[in-house]
Amino acid sequence: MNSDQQSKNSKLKPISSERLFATVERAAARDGIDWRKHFDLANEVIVFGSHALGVQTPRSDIDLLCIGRGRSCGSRMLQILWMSRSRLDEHVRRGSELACHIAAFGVWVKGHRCLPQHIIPSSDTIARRRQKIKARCEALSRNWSVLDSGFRAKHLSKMRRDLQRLQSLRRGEPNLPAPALDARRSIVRNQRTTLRQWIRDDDELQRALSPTLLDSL
Amino acid sequence: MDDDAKAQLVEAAKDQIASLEDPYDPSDTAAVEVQLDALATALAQLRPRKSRKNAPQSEEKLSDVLSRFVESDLVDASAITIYDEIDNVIRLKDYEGYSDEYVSQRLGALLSDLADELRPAIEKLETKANQ
Repeated sequence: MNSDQQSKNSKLKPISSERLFATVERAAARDGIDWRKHFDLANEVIVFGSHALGVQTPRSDIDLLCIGRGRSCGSRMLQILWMSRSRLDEHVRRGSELACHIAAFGVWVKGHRCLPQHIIPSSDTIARRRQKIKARCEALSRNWSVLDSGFRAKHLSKMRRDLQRLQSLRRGEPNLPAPALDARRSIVRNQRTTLRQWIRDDDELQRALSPTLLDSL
Repeated sequence: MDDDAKAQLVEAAKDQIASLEDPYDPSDTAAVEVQLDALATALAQLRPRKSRKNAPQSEEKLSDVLSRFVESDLVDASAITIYDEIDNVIRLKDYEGYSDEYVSQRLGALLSDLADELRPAIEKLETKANQ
């Protein structure tokens, strides 16, 4: 990791659990979600994603992971995901992106942290992220001419974020939520040039993207 | 819009619906996302939203476009339910630890269901365009 990267990541500090709890209560009340029911039923409740890092935008929803037995649900502002303890342990064993992210940035609003502070993403996790980028490149190459310009922009942003995440994983770092990735102004401002350069650095990705699309970046 | 243009839009929508059942691997959810957006683009051209003056135009999700088709009685509301389920599988894939095989089977079946719901609507529009 270079020093610039280190200083950017060190600025990201998890928000206090009390503040997050109040934010979740307000969002649940607004969306008519019986959040207390989930809270009481869960053994642990962890806030993760943009709100846990305080980098959310007005459109960001709040990601909650409830450990125990319950049913996942979502509303405009809240995404409540349920997972058994054994499934979370499996994520940790696999070095999944979720496990790496929660270990680094998760905030426990109920129960105690029981994960190491740092989990290293596995080679399988890195390969999966790369495969996702490759699949998007191929699908965009097939559909570029028929996609609405808004969708083109959306998928280029997604591809840029996926490549940023791939680079983080390769450095053994946890993934950051979209608003934190979008805050890297020089990358976002020169998105097309950066994408072209990153894709040209990877033979397989370059082959997945049609020459027409690559040239249009 | 003249009849030729209308017929071209209908053909484009038919192609996109057929692509939902193409033998690509639906476990690659990023590819499915792109495919659904291409479908949304094609369908939106057949049933454009009413634009307000000076209102910013952003891309619409497929569910928004499908809602217009439901309002016009061209498609059953179950198409939106199928889309929501597709969206759910894509969103939860990594969290729930679904296997690639499960995602491939489940998304493959849902995409096929969605194509079945949309085909009659396009046939109706095609008949109208040919009249």
